[in-house]
Amino acid sequence: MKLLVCVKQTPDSTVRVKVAGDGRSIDASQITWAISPYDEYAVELALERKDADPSTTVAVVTVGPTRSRDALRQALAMGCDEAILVTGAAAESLDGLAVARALAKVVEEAKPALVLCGRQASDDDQGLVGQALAETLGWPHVSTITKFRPADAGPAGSVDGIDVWREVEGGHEVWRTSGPVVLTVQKSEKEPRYPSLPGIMKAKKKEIPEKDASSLGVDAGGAKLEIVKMEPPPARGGGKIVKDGDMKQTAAELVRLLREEAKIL
Amino acid sequence: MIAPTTGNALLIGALIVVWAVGWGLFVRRAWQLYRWLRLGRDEDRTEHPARRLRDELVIYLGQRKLFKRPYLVRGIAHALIFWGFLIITVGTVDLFVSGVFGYRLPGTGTAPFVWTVDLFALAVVASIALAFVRRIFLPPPRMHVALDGYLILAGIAFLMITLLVFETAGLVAGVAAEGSADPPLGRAILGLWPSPFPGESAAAVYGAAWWAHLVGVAAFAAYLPQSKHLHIFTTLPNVFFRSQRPRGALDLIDGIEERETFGAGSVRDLSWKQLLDGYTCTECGRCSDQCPALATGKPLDPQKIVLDVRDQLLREGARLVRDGSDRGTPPARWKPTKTEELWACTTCAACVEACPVTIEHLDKIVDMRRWLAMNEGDVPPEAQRSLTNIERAGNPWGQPPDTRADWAKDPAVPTFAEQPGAEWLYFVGCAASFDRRNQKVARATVEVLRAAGVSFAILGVEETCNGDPARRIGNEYLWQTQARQNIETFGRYGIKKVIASCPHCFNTIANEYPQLGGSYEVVHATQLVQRLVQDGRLALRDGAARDAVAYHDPCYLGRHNRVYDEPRDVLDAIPGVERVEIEPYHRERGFCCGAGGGRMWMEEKVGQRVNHRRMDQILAVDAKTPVTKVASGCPFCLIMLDEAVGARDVQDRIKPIDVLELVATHIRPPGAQTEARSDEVEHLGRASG
Amino acid sequence: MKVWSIVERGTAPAAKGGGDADRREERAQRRVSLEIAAKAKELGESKALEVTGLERYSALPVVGAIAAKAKAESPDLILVAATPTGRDLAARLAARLGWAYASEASGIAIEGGAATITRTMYAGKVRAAVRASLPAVVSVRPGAFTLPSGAAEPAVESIPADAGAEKLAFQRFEPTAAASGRIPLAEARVVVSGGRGLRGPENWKMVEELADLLGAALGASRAVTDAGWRPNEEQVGQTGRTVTPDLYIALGISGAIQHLAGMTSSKVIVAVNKDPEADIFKVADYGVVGDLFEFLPAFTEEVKKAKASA
Repeated sequence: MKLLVCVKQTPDSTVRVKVAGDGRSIDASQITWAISPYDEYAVELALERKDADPSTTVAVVTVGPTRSRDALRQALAMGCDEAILVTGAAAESLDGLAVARALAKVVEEAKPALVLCGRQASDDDQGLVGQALAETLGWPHVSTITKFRPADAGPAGSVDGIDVWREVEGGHEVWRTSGPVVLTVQKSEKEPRYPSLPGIMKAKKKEIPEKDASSLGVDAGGAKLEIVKMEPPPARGGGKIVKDGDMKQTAAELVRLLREEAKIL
Repeated sequence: MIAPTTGNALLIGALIVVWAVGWGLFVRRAWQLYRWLRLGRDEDRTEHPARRLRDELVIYLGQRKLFKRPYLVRGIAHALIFWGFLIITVGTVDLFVSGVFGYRLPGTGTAPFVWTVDLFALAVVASIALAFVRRIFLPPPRMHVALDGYLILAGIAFLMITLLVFETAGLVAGVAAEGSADPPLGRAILGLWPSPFPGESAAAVYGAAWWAHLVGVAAFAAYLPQSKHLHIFTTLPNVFFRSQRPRGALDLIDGIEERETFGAGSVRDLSWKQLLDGYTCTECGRCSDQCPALATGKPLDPQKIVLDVRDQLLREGARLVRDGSDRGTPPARWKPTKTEELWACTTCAACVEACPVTIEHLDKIVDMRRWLAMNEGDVPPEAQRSLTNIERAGNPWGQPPDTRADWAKDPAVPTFAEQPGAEWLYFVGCAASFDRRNQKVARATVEVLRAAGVSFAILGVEETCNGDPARRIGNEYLWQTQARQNIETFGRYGIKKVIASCPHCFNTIANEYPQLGGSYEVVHATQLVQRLVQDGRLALRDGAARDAVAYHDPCYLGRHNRVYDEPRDVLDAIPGVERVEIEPYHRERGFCCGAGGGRMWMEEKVGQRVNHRRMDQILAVDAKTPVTKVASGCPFCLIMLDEAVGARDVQDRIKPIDVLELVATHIRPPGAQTEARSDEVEHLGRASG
Repeated sequence: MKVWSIVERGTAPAAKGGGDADRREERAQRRVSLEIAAKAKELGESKALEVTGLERYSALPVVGAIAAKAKAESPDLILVAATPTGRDLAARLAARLGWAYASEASGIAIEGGAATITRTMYAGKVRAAVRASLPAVVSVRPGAFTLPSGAAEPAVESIPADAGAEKLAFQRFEPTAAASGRIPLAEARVVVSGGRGLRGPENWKMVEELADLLGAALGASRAVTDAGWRPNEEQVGQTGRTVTPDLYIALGISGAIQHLAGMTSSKVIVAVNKDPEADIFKVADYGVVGDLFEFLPAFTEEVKKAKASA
């Protein structure tokens, strides 16, 4: 079985993101980039399948600027077999629907049995590309999955589709698909693996073919979403401290703040 | 005495054959063991020959490491057996030579020699009796009491008894050679029991005992290399070839980018010295006695680490010698529980300190961890998270790297970028940079350095994790990446002198960075303060409160670097502070807090928590001498002790604190001291390299 | 300006055991449906839609039904609650229609033929305003809009699911092993965590009561799981789980770095501790310095009152 994992390179979760001078983008100068966490789970999940069935091959693809190559190397080091980079000037500013169209071209060429994506990227936090890719391909999708495996062997011993575990409140729904499917990943069973050193060395030497986004017929024109303004959230820890006094009043005040100010209750 | 074989060619021939067979079997086994030993990777262990000779004299001949508490009595008994063995060996060779050639070795007939042999023979018999009694009635909990041990003891006893018997019978039979002294023991026995042998049997008894003794020696020689008592021979080279690296330094993997396998994936990947350690272990269990992991119910037993390597070599050796491409079982997979054992180690080096025959337990554990971490990517997930954090954020907690110097805004500590000429680098470390509790230690350190007028700066956001957790977890590659980055930064600012308030930073920079070409003068903050106080550059005043301060030795300051006295001197210099020792678990026997070796970032689910055990030891002292503070010089110890006082619900009366914090609260106000000149403290520091 | 809101009731993937979790989810869905319906009304000519005829939610039949209607009636904006199912359907719906899409909106304003949407990006590290051309699909953060008091139950138009569009086959539901009905830590939007300040496992009854009330997962500090007061799975921190809920309530936790490493990315942090110097206050948005055993029952009582009035 051939699996294709779509990943995005985003600022590492340890990075403190700063808004750039223009007030509508982030300052990219001090950023450590990494595979977006949910995408990393998707890679891990695909590799877990490969562990269970060594005949599985895992390809990984990304759409983005050339620095995204590092994310692909990381995925290769973890154990993916091949990587495809879709880049070029157009790839830098595509919106979710356009990224999905570019990915759909790659899928049509690579012909995987299924496609895995993270449930959302940790930069725009949109959670659109997986569903949009499935829509573009005309495939079904299952979102927020934590596990998948070939369905129980049929009478002739053949594999009859794929079972997918979708995480919902209180448990998992198991869905079966008989054709190709896009899965968006919530979490892998294990933490994403740390690449072995031989894996890292091998990945360093691996050829990563590059496709130009515009050659896939995708351009950045007609974006439907535009960032108008960005600002840091209010500083942490300047929090309101209620000193001891009457605990009944304190409790009532806290509930009020949580409802009206934090809008969380 | 005149040998029973004298003049009888047949008997002489028989004696030669018996010895040839015994020693032939010995040599055959020794050769086999040597060939298996050569399976190990090459490692040069010949540097510092003078130090090696000294070690040989002190540790091997002098038996120094055997006399440690709490093993003093046993140690003396062992030393007596050992020295007796050496002396009596000369006597035995003399017997053989005189039996074959009828010729005595020079000096063996003199009274001093005869007396020495007899006294040691007596001491050996007594020691063996003691050993028997201990094994039967009071077996030490960690000791591996097995038939092998009894056989050896019985064998030695047999040799001693036959010696005494033929000496006594020889006296009665009058076979003494011209001019040789009477053996005193034989004489003494005859004094107590004038006619032990009926009728004319003395000569026959003499002959029989003499033969029994020499045949016994040959049998002993044949048996020895099959048993754990091989250490009688292997200790000699094992001590000679012991590591002369600083104890805190792990071995460098050279040319890591060009390698295909990393760490010990096969016994072939362990060095020949590590394999020799296996031959040398005598299963005394002292390492196990001292292991904090074993003491708190973890699966690790340092003795087993060594013995497993030996067992694997004995099992696989012949096969691997035959087939050069066969790599055998990876040592880390030797048994199903092996990885858990390996990850339980805090690298506190209590085992290394305890071992009387200089076995290097840690190198094996780390080499196996290296294979797991780098070759297999098989690291406990939570530890892996810390590694990823170090890789991406430069600190194991994954805190934003650009907040590293946020703590330093308040006391406005200059960075090298701002003050490139500073004399000392204060390498803050991740814990004191990011952990709020330990930020107080960083601030205290700054306050103390300023009060003493030391010229220093920090690296600010240019500092990155020194790499210690990565190296100890087994990710040598990440350690090298971190170390190179810091060395590059140090070089950019021309930094020559480094102060560290964290023993892990201290150890790695002082002892390990030289492996990558970064040699600096490195001091731990307590060392610097000790000298500043001694030189009168830092004046300390009496505080408001009396404090009884228990000092907890951090492993990477104490055992790994033997910095025991300086922090104690500093505490003693603070008026109003009364130092309390955590007897008997202090100095060389200091008990780990549980955080070393990357354990800080791993779950501790099995058994008791190491830091809780440590707290119980402190509380046992506290019950006799009330303790108000427990001081340490390590951020990880501090975190662990903080947790432990909470767990034991004594946080309101025993406060964990860093030595530097204590110093900072006792600084005499400005004006009350003379201006310190930092160039005067130039001679400080640990020369590395 | 035609604004639709999608009512999720009945298509929720609830445990269907009739237990607390189901009731809680039903309540939550009802509330959020009211919220977005009210918002739709505020923004323009509104309509509340509900897709019926499905045993449980599945994207293709639901999206098929809504898209067909949207193509026929051309609304300008479709609001969906940003619940897990809501976000799933909203994304696919936007792709089907080829419209603009923004997720997890916490504010919406219409101006000049476009919607300006307030939302967070970079896992909450940035607040952004984005302009979406209309027509658009927007998923809305539950609780983002205060419900006007006495808001009437909207009239809901039912449309049948497009059963023919289904390409997947539902097999079974596997409840989470912890049959307590409590949400696992990783999924929870609210986490109530206890530390050693609670003094003993017997006092967790109070924590559980609050957690149940909030539909929250239970967390614990390492000290607590190490002491065996709570199971290891509940550990939050460096060696436990990293959580990023909307609300994190730390009770009697001092805030050692191991713990902070696992929860500082939470959107809102509430800390209760008797020690005003406790490090947890340095990361808290709201802090209470005082006796936990006085505060907690009072707080639970107040939350109860607040929930009842909702």
